[in-house]
Amino acid sequence: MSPPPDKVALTLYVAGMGPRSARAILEARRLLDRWLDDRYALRVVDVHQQPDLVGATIPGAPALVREGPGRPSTYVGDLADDEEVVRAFRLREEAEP
Amino acid sequence: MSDEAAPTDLGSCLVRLREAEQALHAMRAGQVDAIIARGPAGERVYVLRSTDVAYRLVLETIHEGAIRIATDGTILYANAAFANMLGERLENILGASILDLLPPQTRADAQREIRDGAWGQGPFESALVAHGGVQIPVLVSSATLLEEGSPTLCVVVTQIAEQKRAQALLVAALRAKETLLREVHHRVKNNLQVICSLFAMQAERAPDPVSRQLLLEGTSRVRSIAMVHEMLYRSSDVAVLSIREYVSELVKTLQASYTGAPSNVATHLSVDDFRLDLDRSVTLGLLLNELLTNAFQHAFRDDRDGNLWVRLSLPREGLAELSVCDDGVGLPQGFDAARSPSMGLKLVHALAQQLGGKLEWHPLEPGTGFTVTFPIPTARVQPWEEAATRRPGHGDRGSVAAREQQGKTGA
Repeated sequence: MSPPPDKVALTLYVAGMGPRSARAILEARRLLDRWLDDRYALRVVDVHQQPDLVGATIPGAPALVREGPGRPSTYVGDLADDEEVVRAFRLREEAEP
Repeated sequence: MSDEAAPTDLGSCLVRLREAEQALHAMRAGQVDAIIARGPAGERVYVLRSTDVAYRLVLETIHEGAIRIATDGTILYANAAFANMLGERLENILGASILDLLPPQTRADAQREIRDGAWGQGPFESALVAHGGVQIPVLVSSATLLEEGSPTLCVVVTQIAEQKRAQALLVAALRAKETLLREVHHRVKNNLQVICSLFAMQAERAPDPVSRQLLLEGTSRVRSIAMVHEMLYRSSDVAVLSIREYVSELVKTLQASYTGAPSNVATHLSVDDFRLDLDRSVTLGLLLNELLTNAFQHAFRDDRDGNLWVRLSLPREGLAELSVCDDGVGLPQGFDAARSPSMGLKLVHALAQQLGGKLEWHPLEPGTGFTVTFPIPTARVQPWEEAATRRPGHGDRGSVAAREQQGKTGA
Protein backbone atom coordinates (compact mmCIF):
# COMPACT_ATOMS: atom_id res chain seq x y z
CA MET A 1 0.00 0.00 0.00
CA SER A 2 1.68 3.21 -1.07
CA PRO A 3 0.55 6.54 0.33
CA PRO A 4 -0.86 9.25 -1.98
CA PRO A 5 1.96 11.32 -3.56
CA ASP A 6 0.68 14.61 -2.16
CA LYS A 7 1.03 13.42 1.41
CA VAL A 8 3.99 13.13 3.74
CA ALA A 9 4.55 9.44 4.32
CA LEU A 10 5.63 8.44 7.81
CA THR A 11 6.13 5.20 9.70
CA LEU A 12 6.11 4.94 13.45
CA TYR A 13 7.89 1.91 14.86
CA VAL A 14 6.82 0.80 18.32
CA ALA A 15 7.77 -2.26 20.34
CA GLY A 16 4.82 -4.03 21.93
CA MET A 17 2.00 -2.66 24.01
CA GLY A 18 3.89 -0.81 26.70
CA PRO A 19 3.14 2.72 27.84
CA ARG A 20 5.92 4.12 25.67
CA SER A 21 4.31 2.63 22.57
CA ALA A 22 0.93 4.03 23.50
CA ARG A 23 2.37 7.44 24.17
CA ALA A 24 4.38 7.43 20.94
CA ILE A 25 1.26 6.73 18.87
CA LEU A 26 -0.76 9.46 20.58
CA GLU A 27 2.10 11.97 20.42
CA ALA A 28 2.77 11.26 16.74
CA ARG A 29 -0.90 11.71 15.89
CA ARG A 30 -1.15 14.91 17.89
CA LEU A 31 2.01 16.35 16.37
CA LEU A 32 1.16 15.46 12.77
CA ASP A 33 -2.45 16.60 13.07
CA ARG A 34 -1.20 19.91 14.38
CA TRP A 35 1.45 20.56 11.71
CA LEU A 36 0.20 18.70 8.66
CA ASP A 37 -3.57 18.46 9.28
CA ASP A 38 -4.62 15.70 6.87
CA ARG A 39 -1.62 16.02 4.57
CA TYR A 40 0.14 12.98 5.95
CA ALA A 41 -0.14 9.20 5.90
CA LEU A 42 1.06 7.41 9.01
CA ARG A 43 1.44 3.70 9.40
CA VAL A 44 2.35 2.17 12.73
CA VAL A 45 4.49 -0.96 12.90
CA ASP A 46 4.83 -3.08 16.03
CA VAL A 47 8.36 -4.44 15.63
CA HIS A 48 7.54 -7.40 17.87
CA GLN A 49 4.65 -8.57 15.74
CA GLN A 50 6.01 -7.54 12.36
CA PRO A 51 9.82 -7.67 12.43
CA ASP A 52 9.73 -8.16 8.65
CA LEU A 53 8.55 -4.59 8.21
CA VAL A 54 11.47 -3.08 10.09
CA GLY A 55 13.61 -1.05 7.72
CA ALA A 56 17.36 -0.79 8.13
CA THR A 57 17.01 2.90 8.93
CA ILE A 58 16.05 2.69 12.62
CA PRO A 59 18.30 1.74 15.48
CA GLY A 60 15.54 1.33 18.06
CA ALA A 61 11.87 1.70 18.86
CA PRO A 62 9.85 3.77 19.32
CA ALA A 63 11.06 5.67 16.27
CA LEU A 64 9.31 7.89 13.77
CA VAL A 65 10.57 7.80 10.20
CA ARG A 66 9.72 10.24 7.46
CA GLU A 67 9.81 8.12 4.33
CA GLY A 68 9.18 10.90 1.85
CA PRO A 69 8.88 13.03 -0.08
CA GLY A 70 12.45 14.19 0.01
CA ARG A 71 15.29 12.98 2.13
CA PRO A 72 14.32 10.35 4.73
CA SER A 73 14.73 11.30 8.36
CA THR A 74 14.45 9.42 11.64
CA TYR A 75 13.71 10.40 15.21
CA VAL A 76 14.18 7.85 17.98
CA GLY A 77 12.56 7.87 21.43
CA ASP A 78 10.21 10.28 23.12
CA LEU A 79 8.28 12.45 20.65
CA ALA A 80 7.16 14.91 23.30
CA ASP A 81 10.08 17.22 22.59
CA ASP A 82 8.19 19.16 19.91
CA GLU A 83 10.87 21.56 18.65
CA GLU A 84 13.38 18.79 18.08
CA VAL A 85 10.88 16.68 16.22
CA VAL A 86 9.55 19.57 14.15
CA ARG A 87 13.06 20.37 13.02
CA ALA A 88 13.95 16.72 12.33
CA PHE A 89 10.94 16.23 10.09
CA ARG A 90 10.96 19.72 8.51
CA LEU A 91 7.36 20.18 9.62
CA ARG A 92 7.59 23.96 9.67
CA GLU A 93 8.52 23.96 5.98
CA GLU A 94 5.65 21.58 5.22
CA ALA A 95 3.18 23.74 7.13
CA GLU A 96 4.27 26.94 5.35
CA PRO A 97 5.34 25.91 1.85
CA MET B 1 23.07 4.74 11.95
CA SER B 2 22.73 2.74 8.77
CA ASP B 3 25.35 1.23 6.63
CA GLU B 4 23.79 2.17 3.35
CA ALA B 5 25.90 3.74 0.60
CA ALA B 6 28.25 6.32 2.08
CA PRO B 7 26.97 9.90 1.87
CA THR B 8 28.63 12.02 -0.70
CA ASP B 9 27.97 15.57 0.43
CA LEU B 10 28.67 17.35 3.65
CA GLY B 11 25.00 18.33 4.22
CA SER B 12 23.87 14.71 4.24
CA CYS B 13 26.73 13.82 6.53
CA LEU B 14 25.65 16.47 9.01
CA VAL B 15 22.03 15.34 8.93
CA ARG B 16 22.97 11.74 9.55
CA LEU B 17 25.32 12.71 12.30
CA ARG B 18 22.58 14.69 13.98
CA GLU B 19 20.24 11.69 13.72
CA ALA B 20 22.86 9.39 15.19
CA GLU B 21 23.43 11.78 18.08
CA GLN B 22 19.72 12.06 18.70
CA ALA B 23 19.25 8.27 18.71
CA LEU B 24 22.15 7.82 21.10
CA HIS B 25 20.73 10.50 23.35
CA ALA B 26 17.29 8.80 23.36
CA MET B 27 18.85 5.47 24.31
CA ARG B 28 20.90 7.02 27.10
CA ALA B 29 17.81 8.78 28.41
CA GLY B 30 15.96 5.42 28.62
CA GLN B 31 13.43 6.37 25.96
CA VAL B 32 13.85 3.20 23.92
CA ASP B 33 12.04 -0.15 24.30
CA ALA B 34 13.90 -2.14 21.66
CA ILE B 35 17.05 -2.00 19.60
CA ILE B 36 17.10 -3.08 15.99
CA ALA B 37 20.40 -4.39 14.65
CA ARG B 38 21.35 -5.90 11.37
CA GLY B 39 22.99 -9.31 11.48
CA PRO B 40 23.73 -12.06 8.97
CA ALA B 41 20.11 -13.27 9.30
CA GLY B 42 18.67 -9.79 8.60
CA GLU B 43 17.07 -7.32 11.02
CA ARG B 44 16.88 -8.50 14.64
CA VAL B 45 14.80 -6.84 17.31
CA TYR B 46 16.33 -6.78 20.76
CA VAL B 47 13.94 -5.96 23.52
CA LEU B 48 15.35 -3.77 26.25
CA ARG B 49 12.57 -4.14 28.74
CA SER B 50 10.97 -7.54 28.54
CA THR B 51 8.92 -8.09 31.68
CA ASP B 52 5.80 -8.32 29.55
CA VAL B 53 7.10 -11.02 27.19
CA ALA B 54 4.89 -13.80 28.56
CA TYR B 55 1.71 -11.73 28.36
CA ARG B 56 2.61 -10.46 24.93
CA LEU B 57 3.09 -14.00 23.71
CA VAL B 58 -0.35 -14.95 25.00
CA LEU B 59 -1.96 -11.94 23.33
CA GLU B 60 -0.19 -12.54 20.06
CA THR B 61 -1.19 -16.20 19.82
CA ILE B 62 -4.83 -16.19 20.98
CA HIS B 63 -7.60 -16.39 18.40
CA GLU B 64 -9.57 -13.54 19.94
CA GLY B 65 -8.82 -10.02 18.83
CA ALA B 66 -7.03 -8.00 21.49
CA ILE B 67 -6.66 -4.24 21.26
CA ARG B 68 -5.76 -1.34 23.46
CA ILE B 69 -7.43 1.97 22.73
CA ALA B 70 -7.00 5.52 23.96
CA THR B 71 -9.96 7.55 25.22
CA ASP B 72 -10.27 9.19 21.78
CA GLY B 73 -10.53 5.76 20.13
CA THR B 74 -6.97 5.60 18.75
CA ILE B 75 -5.81 2.00 18.53
CA LEU B 76 -2.55 1.80 20.47
CA TYR B 77 -2.09 -1.92 20.19
CA ALA B 78 -3.73 -4.67 18.18
CA ASN B 79 -2.80 -8.31 17.86
CA ALA B 80 -2.61 -10.22 14.60
CA ALA B 81 -5.93 -11.98 15.29
CA PHE B 82 -7.72 -8.63 15.34
CA ALA B 83 -6.20 -7.65 12.00
CA ASN B 84 -7.07 -11.05 10.50
CA MET B 85 -10.63 -10.71 11.72
CA LEU B 86 -10.96 -7.50 9.72
CA GLY B 87 -8.98 -8.76 6.72
CA GLU B 88 -6.78 -5.69 7.17
CA ARG B 89 -3.02 -5.28 7.54
CA LEU B 90 -1.86 -4.74 11.08
CA GLU B 91 0.18 -1.64 10.21
CA ASN B 92 -2.99 0.00 8.85
CA ILE B 93 -4.86 -0.66 12.07
CA LEU B 94 -2.34 0.56 14.64
CA GLY B 95 -2.74 4.27 15.15
CA ALA B 96 -6.12 4.29 13.39
CA SER B 97 -9.39 4.98 15.21
CA ILE B 98 -11.60 2.13 16.39
CA LEU B 99 -14.57 4.35 15.53
CA ASP B 100 -13.78 3.97 11.83
CA LEU B 101 -14.13 0.20 12.25
CA LEU B 102 -17.60 0.39 13.81
CA PRO B 103 -20.93 0.49 11.94
CA PRO B 104 -21.87 4.18 11.44
CA GLN B 105 -25.05 3.96 13.52
CA THR B 106 -23.12 2.80 16.60
CA ARG B 107 -20.29 5.33 16.39
CA ALA B 108 -21.79 8.17 18.44
CA ASP B 109 -22.63 5.90 21.39
CA ALA B 110 -19.29 4.10 21.16
CA GLN B 111 -17.37 7.39 21.07
CA ARG B 112 -19.06 8.52 24.28
CA GLU B 113 -18.59 5.17 26.00
CA ILE B 114 -14.93 4.92 25.02
CA ARG B 115 -14.31 8.43 26.32
CA ASP B 116 -16.02 7.48 29.62
CA GLY B 117 -14.18 4.15 29.76
CA ALA B 118 -17.52 2.30 29.72
CA TRP B 119 -17.27 0.62 26.33
CA GLY B 120 -17.38 -3.16 26.75
CA GLN B 121 -17.52 -2.97 30.54
CA GLY B 122 -20.03 -5.71 30.86
CA PRO B 123 -19.59 -7.58 27.57
CA PHE B 124 -21.96 -6.66 24.77
CA GLU B 125 -22.64 -7.69 21.22
CA SER B 126 -21.59 -5.35 18.47
CA ALA B 127 -20.25 -5.48 14.96
CA LEU B 128 -17.06 -4.47 13.21
CA VAL B 129 -16.78 -3.29 9.64
CA ALA B 130 -14.22 -5.51 7.95
CA HIS B 131 -12.20 -4.79 4.82
CA GLY B 132 -14.68 -4.45 1.96
CA GLY B 133 -17.47 -3.18 4.19
CA VAL B 134 -18.69 -6.54 5.49
CA GLN B 135 -20.05 -6.34 9.01
CA ILE B 136 -18.91 -9.10 11.34
CA PRO B 137 -20.76 -9.77 14.61
CA VAL B 138 -18.51 -9.66 17.67
CA LEU B 139 -18.63 -9.78 21.44
CA VAL B 140 -16.75 -6.89 23.02
CA SER B 141 -15.40 -6.94 26.56
CA SER B 142 -12.92 -4.59 28.12
CA ALA B 143 -11.00 -3.50 31.18
CA THR B 144 -9.70 -0.04 31.97
CA LEU B 145 -5.97 0.34 32.37
CA LEU B 146 -4.63 3.35 34.19
CA GLU B 147 -1.05 3.85 33.19
CA GLU B 148 0.94 7.01 33.62
CA GLY B 149 -2.16 9.01 34.33
CA SER B 150 -4.08 8.53 31.09
CA PRO B 151 -6.63 5.71 31.06
CA THR B 152 -6.80 3.29 28.16
CA LEU B 153 -9.17 0.44 27.41
CA CYS B 154 -7.86 -3.08 26.96
CA VAL B 155 -10.45 -4.77 24.78
CA VAL B 156 -11.00 -8.39 23.81
CA VAL B 157 -13.05 -8.89 20.65
CA THR B 158 -14.53 -12.33 20.00
CA GLN B 159 -16.09 -13.30 16.68
CA ILE B 160 -19.56 -14.72 17.20
CA ALA B 161 -20.63 -15.31 13.62
CA GLU B 162 -20.56 -19.09 14.19
CA GLN B 163 -22.64 -18.85 17.36
CA LYS B 164 -25.07 -16.53 15.58
CA ARG B 165 -25.43 -18.98 12.73
CA ALA B 166 -25.95 -21.90 15.11
CA GLN B 167 -28.46 -19.85 17.10
CA ALA B 168 -30.40 -18.94 13.96
CA LEU B 169 -30.48 -22.60 12.91
CA LEU B 170 -31.73 -23.63 16.35
CA VAL B 171 -34.45 -21.00 16.32
CA ALA B 172 -35.54 -22.09 12.84
CA ALA B 173 -35.55 -25.76 13.91
CA LEU B 174 -37.58 -24.90 16.99
CA ARG B 175 -40.10 -22.97 14.89
CA ALA B 176 -40.44 -25.89 12.51
CA LYS B 177 -41.00 -28.24 15.44
CA GLU B 178 -43.62 -25.93 16.93
CA THR B 179 -45.43 -25.69 13.61
CA LEU B 180 -45.47 -29.45 13.38
CA LEU B 181 -46.72 -29.84 16.95
CA ARG B 182 -49.42 -27.27 16.32
CA GLU B 183 -50.49 -29.17 13.23
CA VAL B 184 -50.61 -32.40 15.22
CA HIS B 185 -52.76 -30.80 17.94
CA HIS B 186 -55.02 -29.42 15.24
CA ARG B 187 -55.52 -32.83 13.65
CA VAL B 188 -56.03 -34.61 16.97
CA LYS B 189 -58.62 -32.00 17.89
CA ASN B 190 -60.39 -32.45 14.52
CA ASN B 191 -60.45 -36.23 14.87
CA LEU B 192 -61.77 -36.02 18.43
CA GLN B 193 -64.46 -33.64 17.22
CA VAL B 194 -65.49 -36.17 14.60
CA ILE B 195 -65.86 -38.73 17.40
CA CYS B 196 -67.95 -36.23 19.37
CA SER B 197 -70.22 -35.69 16.35
CA LEU B 198 -70.62 -39.44 15.84
CA PHE B 199 -71.57 -39.91 19.51
CA ALA B 200 -74.02 -37.02 19.29
CA MET B 201 -75.64 -38.49 16.18
CA GLN B 202 -75.91 -41.84 17.90
CA ALA B 203 -77.42 -40.19 20.98
CA GLU B 204 -80.16 -38.64 18.83
CA ARG B 205 -81.12 -42.09 17.58
CA ALA B 206 -80.86 -43.74 21.00
CA PRO B 207 -83.88 -45.97 21.78
CA ASP B 208 -84.20 -44.82 25.40
CA PRO B 209 -83.21 -41.85 27.60
CA VAL B 210 -80.62 -43.85 29.57
CA SER B 211 -78.65 -44.86 26.46
CA ARG B 212 -78.96 -41.34 25.19
CA GLN B 213 -77.55 -39.97 28.44
CA LEU B 214 -74.64 -42.42 28.36
CA LEU B 215 -73.73 -41.41 24.82
CA LEU B 216 -73.89 -37.72 25.72
CA GLU B 217 -71.62 -38.32 28.70
CA GLY B 218 -69.14 -40.03 26.36
CA THR B 219 -69.34 -37.04 24.04
CA SER B 220 -68.59 -34.71 26.90
CA ARG B 221 -65.52 -36.72 27.99
CA VAL B 222 -64.03 -36.76 24.50
CA ARG B 223 -64.78 -33.06 24.11
CA SER B 224 -62.90 -32.20 27.30
CA ILE B 225 -59.81 -33.83 25.74
CA ALA B 226 -60.39 -32.19 22.35
CA MET B 227 -60.46 -28.80 24.08
CA VAL B 228 -56.97 -29.35 25.48
CA HIS B 229 -55.66 -29.95 21.98
CA GLU B 230 -57.57 -27.02 20.57
CA MET B 231 -56.14 -24.64 23.15
CA LEU B 232 -52.62 -25.94 22.68
CA TYR B 233 -53.03 -25.52 18.95
CA ARG B 234 -54.05 -21.90 19.45
CA SER B 235 -51.67 -21.04 22.30
CA SER B 236 -48.27 -19.39 21.99
CA ASP B 237 -46.66 -22.33 23.76
CA VAL B 238 -47.60 -25.63 22.15
CA ALA B 239 -46.43 -27.75 25.10
CA VAL B 240 -48.18 -26.21 28.09
CA LEU B 241 -51.72 -25.09 28.67
CA SER B 242 -53.12 -22.01 30.37
CA ILE B 243 -55.21 -23.63 33.05
CA ARG B 244 -57.44 -20.63 33.76
CA GLU B 245 -58.54 -20.34 30.14
CA TYR B 246 -59.14 -24.09 29.88
CA VAL B 247 -61.15 -24.40 33.08
CA SER B 248 -63.40 -21.46 32.30
CA GLU B 249 -64.00 -22.76 28.77
CA LEU B 250 -64.78 -26.25 30.08
CA VAL B 251 -67.22 -24.95 32.71
CA LYS B 252 -68.96 -22.78 30.11
CA THR B 253 -69.30 -25.65 27.61
CA LEU B 254 -70.61 -28.16 30.17
CA GLN B 255 -73.05 -25.67 31.61
CA ALA B 256 -74.41 -25.00 28.14
CA SER B 257 -74.86 -28.68 27.37
CA TYR B 258 -76.36 -29.80 30.70
CA THR B 259 -78.53 -26.91 31.81
CA GLY B 260 -81.16 -24.87 30.05
CA ALA B 261 -80.73 -21.39 28.68
CA PRO B 262 -80.82 -19.24 30.73
CA SER B 263 -79.07 -21.66 33.05
CA ASN B 264 -80.68 -22.62 36.32
CA VAL B 265 -77.18 -22.87 37.83
CA ALA B 266 -74.99 -19.85 38.55
CA THR B 267 -71.30 -20.70 38.25
CA HIS B 268 -68.58 -18.97 40.26
CA LEU B 269 -65.01 -19.40 39.11
CA SER B 270 -61.78 -18.66 40.89
CA VAL B 271 -58.82 -20.09 39.05
CA ASP B 272 -55.19 -19.19 39.67
CA ASP B 273 -53.49 -18.98 36.34
CA PHE B 274 -50.67 -21.40 35.83
CA ARG B 275 -49.47 -23.66 33.05
CA LEU B 276 -49.65 -27.41 32.93
CA ASP B 277 -48.27 -29.95 30.50
CA LEU B 278 -50.46 -31.90 28.07
CA ASP B 279 -50.74 -35.16 30.05
CA ARG B 280 -51.71 -33.54 33.32
CA SER B 281 -54.04 -31.11 31.53
CA VAL B 282 -55.96 -33.99 29.93
CA THR B 283 -56.25 -35.84 33.26
CA LEU B 284 -57.30 -32.69 35.09
CA GLY B 285 -59.78 -31.86 32.31
CA LEU B 286 -61.39 -35.29 32.48
CA LEU B 287 -61.55 -35.11 36.26
CA LEU B 288 -63.17 -31.68 36.20
CA ASN B 289 -65.53 -32.89 33.47
CA GLU B 290 -66.76 -35.70 35.74
CA LEU B 291 -67.17 -33.48 38.80
CA LEU B 292 -69.07 -30.85 36.82
CA THR B 293 -71.20 -33.39 34.99
CA ASN B 294 -72.02 -35.00 38.30
CA ALA B 295 -73.06 -31.68 39.76
CA PHE B 296 -75.13 -30.56 36.76
CA GLN B 297 -76.84 -33.94 36.46
CA HIS B 298 -77.40 -34.88 40.08
CA ALA B 299 -77.04 -31.87 42.38
CA PHE B 300 -79.36 -29.72 40.26
CA ARG B 301 -81.62 -32.39 38.83
CA ASP B 302 -85.18 -31.49 37.81
CA ASP B 303 -84.02 -27.95 36.86
CA ARG B 304 -83.35 -27.09 40.48
CA ASP B 305 -81.81 -23.61 40.87
CA GLY B 306 -78.47 -23.25 42.55
CA ASN B 307 -74.83 -22.25 42.59
CA LEU B 308 -71.67 -24.01 41.55
CA TRP B 309 -68.28 -22.91 42.81
CA VAL B 310 -65.15 -24.01 40.98
CA ARG B 311 -61.86 -23.09 42.53
CA LEU B 312 -58.39 -24.06 41.40
CA SER B 313 -55.55 -22.61 43.41
CA LEU B 314 -51.91 -23.10 44.24
CA PRO B 315 -51.88 -23.13 48.05
CA ARG B 316 -48.12 -23.58 48.00
CA GLU B 317 -45.36 -24.22 45.47
CA GLY B 318 -45.69 -27.59 43.76
CA LEU B 319 -49.24 -28.19 44.95
CA ALA B 320 -52.58 -27.51 43.28
CA GLU B 321 -56.00 -27.72 44.85
CA LEU B 322 -59.20 -28.14 42.87
CA SER B 323 -62.50 -27.78 44.62
CA VAL B 324 -65.98 -28.08 43.16
CA CYS B 325 -68.79 -27.15 45.54
CA ASP B 326 -72.52 -26.98 44.95
CA ASP B 327 -75.58 -26.11 46.97
CA GLY B 328 -77.65 -28.84 45.33
CA VAL B 329 -79.36 -31.90 46.75
CA GLY B 330 -76.27 -33.39 48.45
CA LEU B 331 -74.72 -36.85 48.46
CA PRO B 332 -76.53 -39.99 49.53
CA GLN B 333 -75.83 -41.36 53.00
CA GLY B 334 -72.58 -43.38 53.23
CA PHE B 335 -71.25 -42.17 49.87
CA ASP B 336 -67.84 -43.50 48.76
CA ALA B 337 -66.42 -42.36 45.42
CA ALA B 338 -64.33 -45.52 45.00
CA ARG B 339 -67.35 -47.78 45.51
CA SER B 340 -69.90 -45.56 43.80
CA PRO B 341 -72.01 -47.27 41.14
CA SER B 342 -71.59 -44.10 39.04
CA MET B 343 -68.89 -44.44 36.41
CA GLY B 344 -68.23 -40.70 36.62
CA LEU B 345 -67.32 -40.72 40.31
CA LYS B 346 -65.27 -43.90 39.92
CA LEU B 347 -63.40 -42.05 37.19
CA VAL B 348 -62.88 -39.06 39.49
CA HIS B 349 -61.33 -41.38 42.05
CA ALA B 350 -59.08 -43.04 39.43
CA LEU B 351 -58.05 -39.75 37.79
CA ALA B 352 -57.17 -38.19 41.14
CA GLN B 353 -54.92 -41.16 41.76
CA GLN B 354 -53.42 -40.77 38.30
CA LEU B 355 -52.53 -37.20 39.18
CA GLY B 356 -50.84 -38.52 42.33
CA GLY B 357 -53.43 -36.58 44.32
CA LYS B 358 -55.98 -37.06 47.04
CA LEU B 359 -59.77 -36.87 46.64
CA GLU B 360 -61.95 -35.68 49.50
CA TRP B 361 -65.62 -34.96 49.68
CA HIS B 362 -67.75 -33.44 52.38
CA PRO B 363 -71.44 -32.71 52.70
CA LEU B 364 -72.41 -29.04 52.82
CA GLU B 365 -75.60 -27.50 54.16
CA PRO B 366 -76.98 -27.75 51.54
CA GLY B 367 -74.93 -29.46 48.84
CA THR B 368 -71.61 -31.18 48.37
CA GLY B 369 -67.96 -30.20 48.15
CA PHE B 370 -65.28 -32.20 46.31
CA THR B 371 -61.62 -31.36 46.75
CA VAL B 372 -58.70 -32.83 44.85
CA THR B 373 -55.21 -31.93 45.99
CA PHE B 374 -52.44 -32.93 43.63
CA PRO B 375 -48.75 -32.19 43.08
CA ILE B 376 -47.59 -30.26 40.03
CA PRO B 377 -43.99 -30.02 38.83
CA THR B 378 -42.61 -26.74 40.13
CA ALA B 379 -40.58 -26.01 37.01
CA ARG B 380 -43.76 -25.92 34.97
CA VAL B 381 -45.61 -23.63 37.31
CA GLN B 382 -45.44 -20.18 35.88
CA PRO B 383 -47.97 -17.94 37.54
CA TRP B 384 -48.75 -15.24 35.04
CA GLU B 385 -49.21 -11.66 35.97
CA GLU B 386 -52.29 -12.47 37.93
CA ALA B 387 -53.28 -8.97 38.84
CA ALA B 388 -53.19 -7.97 35.19
CA THR B 389 -55.24 -10.90 33.90
CA ARG B 390 -57.78 -11.26 36.70
CA ARG B 391 -60.99 -9.62 35.65
CA PRO B 392 -63.48 -8.32 38.16
CA GLY B 393 -66.39 -10.68 38.57
CA HIS B 394 -64.41 -13.51 36.98
CA GLY B 395 -63.68 -15.19 40.27
CA ASP B 396 -65.62 -15.37 43.47
CA ARG B 397 -63.15 -16.29 46.16
CA GLY B 398 -65.28 -14.86 48.90
CA SER B 399 -68.20 -17.19 48.34
CA VAL B 400 -65.99 -20.25 47.94
CA ALA B 401 -64.23 -19.48 51.19
CA ALA B 402 -67.59 -18.95 52.83
CA ARG B 403 -68.87 -22.21 51.42
CA GLU B 404 -65.84 -24.07 52.69
CA GLN B 405 -66.25 -22.59 56.09
CA GLN B 406 -69.85 -23.62 55.97
CA GLY B 407 -68.75 -27.11 54.89
CA LYS B 408 -66.43 -27.45 57.84
CA THR B 409 -69.08 -26.44 60.31
CA GLY B 410 -71.64 -28.61 58.59
CA ALA B 411 -69.43 -31.73 58.51
